[in-house]
Amino acid sequence: MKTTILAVDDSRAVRMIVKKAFKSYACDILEASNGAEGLEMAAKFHPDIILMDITMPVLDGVEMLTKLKADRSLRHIPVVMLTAEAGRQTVMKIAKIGVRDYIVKPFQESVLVSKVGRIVELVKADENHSIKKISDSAKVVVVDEEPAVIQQFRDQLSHLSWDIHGAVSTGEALDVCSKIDADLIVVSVSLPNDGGLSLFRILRSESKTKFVPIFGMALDTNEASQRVAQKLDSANVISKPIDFHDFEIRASEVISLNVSEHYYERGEDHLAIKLPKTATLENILELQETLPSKISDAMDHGLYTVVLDASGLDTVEADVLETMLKVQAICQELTLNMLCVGSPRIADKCGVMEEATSWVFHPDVNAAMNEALGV
Amino acid sequence: MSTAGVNFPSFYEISDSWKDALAQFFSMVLEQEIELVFKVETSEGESKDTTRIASENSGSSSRVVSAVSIAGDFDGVAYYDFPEEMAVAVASKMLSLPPSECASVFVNDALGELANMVTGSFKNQFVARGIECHLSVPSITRGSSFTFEASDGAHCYHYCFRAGDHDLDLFLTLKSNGGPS
Repeated sequence: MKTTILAVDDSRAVRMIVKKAFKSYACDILEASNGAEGLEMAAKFHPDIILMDITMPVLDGVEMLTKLKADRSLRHIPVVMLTAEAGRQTVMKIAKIGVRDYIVKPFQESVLVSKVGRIVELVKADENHSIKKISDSAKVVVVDEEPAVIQQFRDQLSHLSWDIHGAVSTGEALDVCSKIDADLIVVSVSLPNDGGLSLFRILRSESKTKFVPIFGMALDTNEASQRVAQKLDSANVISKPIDFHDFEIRASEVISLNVSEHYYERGEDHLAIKLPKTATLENILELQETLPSKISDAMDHGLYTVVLDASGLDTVEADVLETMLKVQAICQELTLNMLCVGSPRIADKCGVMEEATSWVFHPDVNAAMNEALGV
Repeated sequence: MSTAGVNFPSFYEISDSWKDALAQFFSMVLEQEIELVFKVETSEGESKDTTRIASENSGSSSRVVSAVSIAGDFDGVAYYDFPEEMAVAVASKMLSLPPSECASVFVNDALGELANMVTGSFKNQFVARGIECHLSVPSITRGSSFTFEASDGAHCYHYCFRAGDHDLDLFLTLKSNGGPS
């Protein structure tokens, strides 16, 4: 559900800054340019929170606040004053009438979001996440006291457009997280003085990071640290040494990246579809959804051969077989050549299924293409 | 120096307060550092019967001037004199609009708010010391040649700050108005 924020300020610039500050949250921002308009809007729309200037024409902020608090149907709406007036008298006056907080202009947008987030629930706008693809940039914060571990993340994920922001201490991590909109935070539980757990709690209390997924990172052999990591978020524990392929898939899932692009690779004369060794049902569905457009797009670019690469699979689950059959159907429809790559074990698994009896598996993509080209 | 019971802020206090207020705004809102290029106090106290100090800009380019009046224990006006190109850049950053979409009305709004916020921060530092001050709503004037003139008996200050490739001139006139004894 969207949070409704009423911004009452005679300055259009401030109202625009407020809108900008909450752009990435699921919020409806209503605007009023003076206290009288603000009262009308409040009565009509019953916003979840009101952000109000003090010095305004027609009806100033103090008057509006007084009238708001005198109205039984509106008095419960929390009010945050945005003011260039930080004088003690002014602050005392508005505090007596009843404001939840006040912010002195100029203010940082993050401070505004943080203060509002402590009063009403702010949820990140979903649409910003759902449209992301694996090729889009994502901001990942890695917190580990060992710079080498941070570097490992950078090296192992260098094929992606992810920005890896490192932090070697709790303080540095909080500083980084306050400056960027992190998509994912990876926290080592071995930070000194229970720093990992403390950091997790602080991140969860800050509106900016409240809903950002956090992975706990612990040594595989250390049971105590594994338990601490599970306290952070039982679903999101990664173990050292890190399986980066697994991390990539799980991270993509929690960041809501469409990972389907990860499975396509265009060669000079073919499109290879690499079937994932480990993938969630969501990943498979994403992959299936993109098959028609990716294959037809490849054909438009003069690639008439599709290589179904199952070399990474140990076995063939139903959803993977379904994907393979979809590829076959699309290729038949578009009269494209389909080749298969996979181990003898995979060939055997597929061979028992009626629809796949004609499939010939090659040991790798080059071998498949050489045979197709008669080399 | 003291005037009619009010501790008139010194040149250095004025200079520091204003620089702090402006630097805070540029840092917080525009994420940019500023540098004080020069500062001049062009009159001192009420020892002179008439303090008419004018500063004229080059008049060679379009400028946008945002002004806020101060009233209370002190009377005065704070002028923020921007080259138009800088004014558009500031508005663009403040409002997250591409420069090409920053129509005059948006630039006026943004610079008016800048003047309001910076003068407000400046004023708050003196209000905390018991000096009563109030601000007017900001006004915007556009043109290519301006003269800022202090009223009789007023102190007049001129500061020039550099932000990026541009210089921003600030003019402040302040005159004690009695105040608490």
